[in-house]
Amino acid sequence: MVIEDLKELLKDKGVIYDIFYEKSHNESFKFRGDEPYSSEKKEKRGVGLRVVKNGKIGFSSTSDFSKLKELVDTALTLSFYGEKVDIKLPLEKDLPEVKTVSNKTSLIKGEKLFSMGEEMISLIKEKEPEVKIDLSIEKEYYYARLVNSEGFDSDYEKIILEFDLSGLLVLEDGLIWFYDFYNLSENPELDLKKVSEEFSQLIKVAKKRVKINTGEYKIILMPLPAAYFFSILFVGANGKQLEKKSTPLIDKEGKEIAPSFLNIIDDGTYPFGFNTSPFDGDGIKRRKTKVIENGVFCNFLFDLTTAKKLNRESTGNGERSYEVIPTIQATNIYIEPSKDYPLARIIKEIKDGIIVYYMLGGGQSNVLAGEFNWVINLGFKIEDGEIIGRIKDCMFAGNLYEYLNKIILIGSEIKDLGNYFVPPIVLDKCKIVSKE
Amino acid sequence: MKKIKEVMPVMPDLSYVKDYFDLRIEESEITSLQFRGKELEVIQRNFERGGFLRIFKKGNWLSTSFNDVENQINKESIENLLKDAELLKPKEESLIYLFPKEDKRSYKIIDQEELLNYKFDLLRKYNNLLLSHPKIVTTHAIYNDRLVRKIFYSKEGRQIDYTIFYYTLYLAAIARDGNNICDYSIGIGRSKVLEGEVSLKDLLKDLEGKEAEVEEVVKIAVDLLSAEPVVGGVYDVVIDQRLAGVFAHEAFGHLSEADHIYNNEKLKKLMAIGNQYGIEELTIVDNPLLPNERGSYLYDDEGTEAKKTYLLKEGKIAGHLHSKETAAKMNEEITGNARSVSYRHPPIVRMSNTYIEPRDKSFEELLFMLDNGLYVCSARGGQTELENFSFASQYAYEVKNGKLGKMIRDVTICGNVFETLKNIKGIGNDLKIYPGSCGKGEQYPLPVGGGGPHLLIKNVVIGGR
Repeated sequence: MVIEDLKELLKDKGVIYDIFYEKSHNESFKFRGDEPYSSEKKEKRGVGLRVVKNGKIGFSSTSDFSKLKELVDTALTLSFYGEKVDIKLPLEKDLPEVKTVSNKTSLIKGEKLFSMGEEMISLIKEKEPEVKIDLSIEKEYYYARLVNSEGFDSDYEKIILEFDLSGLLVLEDGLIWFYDFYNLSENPELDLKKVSEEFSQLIKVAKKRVKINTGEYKIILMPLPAAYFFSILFVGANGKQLEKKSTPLIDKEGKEIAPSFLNIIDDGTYPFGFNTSPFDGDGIKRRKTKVIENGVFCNFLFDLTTAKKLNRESTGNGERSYEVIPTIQATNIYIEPSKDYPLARIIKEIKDGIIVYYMLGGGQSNVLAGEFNWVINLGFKIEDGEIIGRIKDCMFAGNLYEYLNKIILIGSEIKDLGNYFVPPIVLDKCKIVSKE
Repeated sequence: MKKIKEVMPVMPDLSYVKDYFDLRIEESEITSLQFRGKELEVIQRNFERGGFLRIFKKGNWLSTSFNDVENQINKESIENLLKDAELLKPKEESLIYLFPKEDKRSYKIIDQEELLNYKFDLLRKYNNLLLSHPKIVTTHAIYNDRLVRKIFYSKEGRQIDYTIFYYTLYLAAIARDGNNICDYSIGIGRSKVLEGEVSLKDLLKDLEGKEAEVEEVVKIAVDLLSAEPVVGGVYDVVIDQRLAGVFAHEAFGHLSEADHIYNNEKLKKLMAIGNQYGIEELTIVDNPLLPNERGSYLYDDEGTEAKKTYLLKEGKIAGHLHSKETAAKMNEEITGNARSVSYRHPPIVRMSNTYIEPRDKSFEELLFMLDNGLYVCSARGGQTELENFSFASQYAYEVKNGKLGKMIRDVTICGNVFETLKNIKGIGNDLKIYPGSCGKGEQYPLPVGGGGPHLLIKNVVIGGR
């Protein structure tokens, strides 16, 4: 066993170390242009070794287990150059119980997944024969084990099932993409009929084009663009940016930065979230961390090393794969929904606005400062509570930290995007630039 | 033709597989150093070895990637793979079959041992330069190299075995003034196919002497602090060579990838050879044979020879980028553009070095032609969904009466590629190629190059507040 072999090799080196081993098996079916296209399988395993020698960190990884001695030598050699940190590896007890394996999902067979894809395509094509569908269904079994020189030794398994759906419609005035996604890790039974109806309905309304003028509008961000929007907050809330003094949130802890109805949690234990696990890459317990509570910014996210440097506690956000040392990343982000505000009601209450399904340009702007600059790739005009048609060639730009205070409503229906659990949100007074 | 055992000793005999198959084994060594501010936060070496086997049966692809190279591919795993062929619907089998070929390039590195110090010193030197201004609160300085040996074996009798060395620097400065935070970054990088005796230190000299560029990174990051955000609207612009490269790649290159085109009748019409979309001076090419650029290679990941492809010639659609499958389906010549980011992924149609050819206008002439508008520089990123693209610049200047004015920030250009091509009204004489990384589907980062000369574009939508 590779971990035991490594422990043996490290026995007399007198160093602090941790070993992260992972393996995965992944199978997927892909459909392209309405037709089955491929069956792909992926087998992966690897091991990463972090050593702390004379207080300095070195790291090496490999997928070639005949190179374990080289791995140890390399990590030790590199530590000569490494960053000096006063780090003590944790020996955490009472790890949280988390839900990462569902029996239903674990038992589902490839044939069944394939037939879900076929059926979904034929249901959509019945209603919208012109659209070209690409679809992918992917099931992954994942295993990780972390061992450190303090005696920590724990592991976990995870099964993830993802269903990705996209459609391309070619119209006179251009190409339109549609996209939908389902995290089926908990329950593989997707209501194909319902999903296909919603998808087809969107395609249907997109065929009608309406003009829009440059100006200020209320905008409904559907869950996907809403997740883009909040992802900028998590650049600023990353403890690394605090350490490097490169975040606008630097002096905002305990201060109100958003309306009082906004609550955001980073939840490393969310049932069947993509990033759910009992412990993080440092061996620290996963937990729920309130990032915004009642509009007040409460917490930065930390891994072990950064927390140590700032004299803080790790929040269990050390993300790691066998190829890299832990770095700070959000786990599963949960935006607390409101009550009784389904999408239909939100739309009904808007007199003059826009609903946005997809944006282009996420992550391209100066996100450190909170800037965003998006092209509305699929959006519709709303007038007097009704969607009247698709808009085109519009841009939406601004700064997250200003726009947090423009959130006027949060929907009540959470969309499970695997690592974001987010309802639609409504922003007031958004400046839209139109080419028309 | 050699038996597979002779090329890849650890692999089982695959001669009983009747259908087209190809097998890739990749061995790579990666060294990575990263400073953030004063601290060297990452120093690591990774050793990767893995493979990818695909079989083309009844018009469908069956594939498996693996990295327990000795144990994962055997008769049982292959049977298991072939079983799925019965699930997928049989289709017409169209695939280009190439002639048998053997090409093995051997090399010997004469100086790998002592290089770690050198890499560390080089990066530290640049990082210290980045930190030299009081307004710079932190940096992100990365040195990265990747030595990758690619071994390819196919049913056709192609046996390719060669090694590429990629080496890159990414240098970013983050400036802060109160709540105002601005950053600016550049990438510098080359690649080299290794043959014979190789001194890596000689290659790495390409990364030396960049002090002036690093000082400019600091200057721009600091200047951005006092730059005003752009006012959104429709502008005429001159874009610099980095942005021209992003335009060639994002806006037009992706649209030329035949895997988007072959099964879409309407797109086929839009992208039909001969369609005129630009002025006669406008020519866009994809060329993996440029020496030592980041997107250069000898063979793609289907064992096909790399070649230069004209995508747009004299304003007209001239070609598409192909894999073995798309070339057969569209009945066009294969171009050698099937690439994968690693052994974990199948080869898909990708670009190499994509650029706009230079013409006769100087930068000053373009500014004079522009008269009033924006000079937009350097790309932060670009994204496209076929005909719609969006790319963010890192900084820009106002232009009034053909003269550069004050600096402006947050300029993002978006538009429809066909309209924008028609709006390119002036092409500069100053081609430059820059390193980049491209993502498509789940495959990122693929090393690519991109560039062009300065371009004058009319009527561009700029997002802003």
